[in-house]
Amino acid sequence: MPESVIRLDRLTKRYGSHTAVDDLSLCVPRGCVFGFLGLNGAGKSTTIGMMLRLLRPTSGRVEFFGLDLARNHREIAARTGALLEQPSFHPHRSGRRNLEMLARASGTHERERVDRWLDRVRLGSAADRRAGTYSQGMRQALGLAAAFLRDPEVVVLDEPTNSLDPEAVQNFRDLVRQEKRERGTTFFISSHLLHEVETLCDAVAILRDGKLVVAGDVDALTEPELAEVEARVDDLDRAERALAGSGAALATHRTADGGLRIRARTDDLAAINARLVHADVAVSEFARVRRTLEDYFMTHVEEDAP
Amino acid sequence: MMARILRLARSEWSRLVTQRLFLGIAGTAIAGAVAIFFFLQLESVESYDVPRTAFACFSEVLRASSWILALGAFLLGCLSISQETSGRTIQNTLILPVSRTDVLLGKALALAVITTMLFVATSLLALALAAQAYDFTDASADGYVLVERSAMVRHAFLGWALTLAPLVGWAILGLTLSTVFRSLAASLAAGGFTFALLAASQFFASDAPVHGLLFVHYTDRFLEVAAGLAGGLSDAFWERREILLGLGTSFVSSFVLLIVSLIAFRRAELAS
Repeated sequence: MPESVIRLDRLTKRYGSHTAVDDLSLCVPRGCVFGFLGLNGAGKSTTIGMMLRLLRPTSGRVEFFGLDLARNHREIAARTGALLEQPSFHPHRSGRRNLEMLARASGTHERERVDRWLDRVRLGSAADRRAGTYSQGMRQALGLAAAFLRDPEVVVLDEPTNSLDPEAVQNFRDLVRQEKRERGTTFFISSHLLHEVETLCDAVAILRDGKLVVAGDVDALTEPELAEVEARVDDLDRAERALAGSGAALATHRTADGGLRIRARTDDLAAINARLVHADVAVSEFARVRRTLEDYFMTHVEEDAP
Repeated sequence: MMARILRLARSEWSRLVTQRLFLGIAGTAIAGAVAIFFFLQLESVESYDVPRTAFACFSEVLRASSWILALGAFLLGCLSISQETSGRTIQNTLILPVSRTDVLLGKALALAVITTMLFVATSLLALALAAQAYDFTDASADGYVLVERSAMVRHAFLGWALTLAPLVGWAILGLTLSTVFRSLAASLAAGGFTFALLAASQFFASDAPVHGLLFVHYTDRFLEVAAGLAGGLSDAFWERREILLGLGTSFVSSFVLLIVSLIAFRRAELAS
């Protein structure tokens, strides 16, 4: 069993009668890129606030590297980097100066390291401009540089691709993959951009109204036993008759563009194809419709939402 | 721990001195010192009872400008947490491998250094103005030496040095209110209310114990006595009890305020 570097144990945060995070338990294995999903107000940022000790949990505990955060904050923070949602910097200082002051305050100041990370997030040419003149996307990039500055083992990122342009988003993905590959860095990424999470993450947890809905590997959530295929056939009526009562196809329906959508168990897909051919149905296309994380999310979170 | 506090103090110092407000406070203190100096030169200020000596002039100019500095230090203290909380920059510091105690003590240290720096700058200006207008000679009248120069130097600079303690107390008061309320407007309102309460207590019950129990009183008192002594006034004298009480209340008040700040800061929820 892989070692857990982040463990949330029955974490709860209440504001008066409102429960923002309710009895949340999670484990994130070392080297994993972990997506933390939920609608706005689901409790993602509150959870991250507790993980970074900006908020105090009402009950429960947070562990990093097997150490209790409440007792070992400094040791944990030395091995952890973080980007908060819409990061702010001192507007009168340049981007470089902001990073230098953060590095110096944490006792790790090396000019070469600051320059390297500024270049890595493509802020090198704007490094000496006042941070007050930066766009939101540039501030986000500066926040990413600050998160990686101490070569952390774990990086916690709250909505990291907010306000980034497509090129910067691609750069961010490359950065995460490179850090994971070369240094085995563990990532905990909160986002509501499902495609982004699916592209980048190995595992996800979905939060709704502060409660954990599901947690698991992305592949397991998007490749379940049940699958859907879309077929292009010459005769839709004959195809439907051939599949009706076969037991292999659980459901069929016609799509707006003249295709036939067939819902079946993954193991039965070959039998369905054979049955259509035996019924003299000309099959010009038989493509599995990949179930995305968004499909899963829509089914399990949005549809169940009150 | 000390190394961490010093690193954070340096960061806070750099943050505060790059603010336009800091330049405004420094400029106001210097302009105030110059204005008071010229006011003292007016012949119409005849009723002013401090004799015209360089040391007395130094202490008088500093006495007036120290109130500007006190309010400036208070304002900087108010800004140190409230500005970082409203701008959400405090979070960048809190996720570093430092404790909240380190962060707050770093801020307090930076405020103490900045207050001292402003006070020294204003003092040098006051000294230069005093040297321009008067001689650093013995205070004398009718051929008799009232106060020797060495005594005047001692009194003027003792008053100067003692005043620093209540001035730092003002900065810590601002820091405390800012930590408790985490809003500049609320901190300033609470500061104004505190000051009004102290002024009222001083006005209505000048002989009551509260009169001498808070550092606010000594912001002015130390330099007032210093000016009188340096000017050669016979009825102004240092009472050892008053020095000890002034220093004691300044240090104890600052310490208590710092403890209150630490408790409030450690308990604060500082996520956006």
